[in-house]
Amino acid sequence: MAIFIAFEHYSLTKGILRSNFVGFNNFIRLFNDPIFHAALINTIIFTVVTVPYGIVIALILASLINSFSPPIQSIFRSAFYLPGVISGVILSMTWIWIFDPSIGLANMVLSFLHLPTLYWLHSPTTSLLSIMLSGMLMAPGGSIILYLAGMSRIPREFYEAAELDGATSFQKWINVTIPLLEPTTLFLLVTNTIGSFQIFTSVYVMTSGGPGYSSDVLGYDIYNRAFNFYNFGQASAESLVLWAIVGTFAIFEFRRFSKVVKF
Amino acid sequence: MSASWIAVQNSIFQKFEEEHPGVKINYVQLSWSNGETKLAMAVAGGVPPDLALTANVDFIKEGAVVPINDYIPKGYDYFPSSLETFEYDGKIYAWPQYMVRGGIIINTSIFKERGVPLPKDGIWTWNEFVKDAQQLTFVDPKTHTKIYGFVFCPESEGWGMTQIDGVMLLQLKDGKWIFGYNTPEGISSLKRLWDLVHVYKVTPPDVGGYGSDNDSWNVFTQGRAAMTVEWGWAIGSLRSYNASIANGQTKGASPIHFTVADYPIGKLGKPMSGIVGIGSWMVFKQPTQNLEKRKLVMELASELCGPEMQMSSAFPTEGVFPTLKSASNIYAKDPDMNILSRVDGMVIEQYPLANADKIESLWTHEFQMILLNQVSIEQGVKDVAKQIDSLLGNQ
Repeated sequence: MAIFIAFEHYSLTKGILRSNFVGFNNFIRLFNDPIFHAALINTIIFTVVTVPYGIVIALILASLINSFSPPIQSIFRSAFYLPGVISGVILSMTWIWIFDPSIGLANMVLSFLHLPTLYWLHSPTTSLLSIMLSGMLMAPGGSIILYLAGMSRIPREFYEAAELDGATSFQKWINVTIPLLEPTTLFLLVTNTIGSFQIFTSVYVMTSGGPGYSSDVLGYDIYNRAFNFYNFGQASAESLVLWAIVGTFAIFEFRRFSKVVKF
Repeated sequence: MSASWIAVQNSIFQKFEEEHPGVKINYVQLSWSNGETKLAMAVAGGVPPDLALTANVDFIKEGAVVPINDYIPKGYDYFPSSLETFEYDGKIYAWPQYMVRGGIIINTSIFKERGVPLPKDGIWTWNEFVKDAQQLTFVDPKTHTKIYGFVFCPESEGWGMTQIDGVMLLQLKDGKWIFGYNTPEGISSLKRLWDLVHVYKVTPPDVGGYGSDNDSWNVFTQGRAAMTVEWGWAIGSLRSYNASIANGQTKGASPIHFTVADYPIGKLGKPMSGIVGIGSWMVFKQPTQNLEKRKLVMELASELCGPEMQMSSAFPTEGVFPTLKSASNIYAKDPDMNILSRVDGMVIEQYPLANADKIESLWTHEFQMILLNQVSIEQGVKDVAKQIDSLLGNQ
């Protein structure tokens, strides 16, 4: 449906079949809209920062958890995965309190460390950073679970062979664990990239894309155009653009990194 | 809506069903946050309700609703402004049920603590308001918390105050809608609000970054500001909160002692109250036209927007105001609500324009940057004027 509506000046009462066809007009207006530019840049920044960070942190935490006995591993697995089952809205509302400039925990910590306090969500220079931090400061539970599953399938013989060669724990991690987890890493890279491009809930709850458009992202901009301004044509055009961008990134990542991944 | 509102509404439904045997009213309550979206989807899906509480002028432009001119009962004396908001080509497309009005909400405890007298009868000049705000900005010696004289948000609650100078976001000039702030008077009026933040420093410095009136309301209800600008619902909310403390439902909290004042007097030379908009009911066209049913729906709408509803207990509980002149004295014995209802105001947030929401959003985002000093007032207005003029030109 979005493919049709993207080429129409969609009318609520006329529907898809009777709305006026406008060709690429919605796309042209979109590409000339500074709000779209801001949302696109913010989304790319969000992805480029949070995705690699999430994968690296998940790998490190999974490696640490993997060194414990199975009962202890279960405790950590549950602890790290639990935030993932909490509603994103509730988490975002909690972060609003944490980032409150006057009474929030974040500025309390900064004050305690004798560092200057920030306006966090209320400043155009830190609003996007706040959104990113709200995701990054929670352990990526799903990714950790996948890495642990991957680590459990690495044959013990590889580590024994490395030990015979005199490898340290760190060298075993670098030369055995990480290479053999490349299929998992590729999978997480692609899926996390797709997920981060669709960031919406935290922006909707915490900043509404502001101040200005400093924290606006593609997902929120699409929602705004469709459901606040009833501009379904441009919203559909933007959703197709998002689909194309995500698809391009996913194909690029698969082609670039799957060459070194042996299945 | 509150339980009291629903109760009055249900009694109207029940009475209507009794008077019209065979008629069954199926009432579906939606949330404020996504009700409009669901309604739009119902219209888009070809299954609109017969009658809905909505002020979305897009439905008028799309031809989805029916004019009500021929159905307004002769005795109904609606305020002209409540009908004009939904008037297109001489036809009125919505039944006005209530007005949302607002003013300055004052924490009287902070005023008393600082020895600042309340504005007499809720009336004050801009200079008096600023002077009071300055005296009410201090560091609490007990908690070392900065208390501000005034807090507002960069949405319509905030920039709507420019009406004291006769300036609004959108104004009619020579029969054409213009961007009201793109004028010398508009810039000058916006400077008042900017000065509160950057010259007099009586507001939190990050007020421009507030995403909604939730932020400013939280600052006020947490006792970190002595005054805020809000709509009438705030009065009902504070009364409910204080009542819940008084009857023991809420424990460990202190009541918020408050009163209400008009907007300070500006260049217009008279006190004003904000009218954010009109709550209205629209009658939707149905895929199969049934004129007899439409007549019944119109009759029901006239009951919902008539004297029985507007003079009921629902209005004070909800903190809204009547649209019928004959019902406008319901707050004669309520000093706080009476202050807001006794003076004129300009409609702040509702325009009979299809792109009004988009224009308001564009302006709000720019106003945030102006208040945060990321851009000057003149530059901010200039930056957004082209887009707004373009949207106005599409009418």
